[in-house]
Amino acid sequence: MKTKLDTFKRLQEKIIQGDKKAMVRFVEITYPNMFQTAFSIIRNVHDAEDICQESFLHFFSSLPKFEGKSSLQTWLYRITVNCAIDILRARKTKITELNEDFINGKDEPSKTIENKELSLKVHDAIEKLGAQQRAVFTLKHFNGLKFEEISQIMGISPSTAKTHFYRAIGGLRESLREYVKEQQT
Amino acid sequence: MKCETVKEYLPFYYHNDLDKTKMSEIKTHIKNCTNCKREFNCLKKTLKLVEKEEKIGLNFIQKRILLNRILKSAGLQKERIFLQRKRAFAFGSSFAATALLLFFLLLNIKTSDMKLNWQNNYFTYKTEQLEESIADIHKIIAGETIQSAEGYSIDVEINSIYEDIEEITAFLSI
Repeated sequence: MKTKLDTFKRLQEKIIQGDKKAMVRFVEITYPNMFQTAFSIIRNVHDAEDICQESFLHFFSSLPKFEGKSSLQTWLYRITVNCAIDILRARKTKITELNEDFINGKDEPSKTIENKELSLKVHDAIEKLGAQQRAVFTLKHFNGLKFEEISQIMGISPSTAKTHFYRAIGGLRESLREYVKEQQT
Repeated sequence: MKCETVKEYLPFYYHNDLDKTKMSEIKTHIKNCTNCKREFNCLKKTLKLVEKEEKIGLNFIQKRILLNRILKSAGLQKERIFLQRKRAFAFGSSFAATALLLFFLLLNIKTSDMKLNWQNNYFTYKTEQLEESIADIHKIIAGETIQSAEGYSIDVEINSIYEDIEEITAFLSI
């Protein structure tokens, strides 16, 4: 039975050989994860789309330089995360503008005030996280990657990745503690 | 394992990212410790909350637009069109093959039915002929006049019975 890993290995071989159809297949498989990663770091849909596009462009243009130290997917993640973190750091300004017209109908009139308040709280909690913490949390929680993979993507050690993750979760728990407690009662 | 240690491991336990021994130890601890259980539930709720608010789902059109943007900028649009056509052809072929298979299957069922009907009719016809021949023999013995293409003797009728029996036997052996 073909596993996802086998599919990626075969795709990787073909892509390295310059098979353009394999490249298309690779984009089709990976772009939703890259978009989610970029969005979770940058918190803006249009920027996330731009980052996604830029990352793939950079990925394909620098394919000849690929040394095979990691998988192509890990490499693509690295490009996407670095691109998103660079933009995030460059901004430094407040980017709490909620993409309300986009995020699953968050601006629907039917959405209650409590829910909107909750959305804001979650957004604030994430905003408080540092760029690295946010990236590690996204890669772990939303993309389900292992710490070894995250360390390769981020260019940090696995133990540092674990520390970032631990602190990110601690930060989120701290910011949302009140709300979670309220729900428990 | 102490509660403080368990609490430190909880985020990794949640993501199933510990070795088997630690996973099992923490699982047992959580079962028996009310505080750690509460702590773990809080963590789960927090993460679910974040997931609910942060997981972004692009709709079909948005996905298509983004995918096309990426492929266009990477100069891979021609290959994408080729792949789409190939997939459409593969889908069409599979569909046609399935339809043909179903058609022949239905046809075969129908043919079998027809064959069965014909066999039944033939069997009934032969049995009737046999009954007629026996009735004729009875009539000849009783001195009655009978109409027959082969003549009027018992021999002719007995031959006819033999032939019918042979045919029916051959038919049944098939």
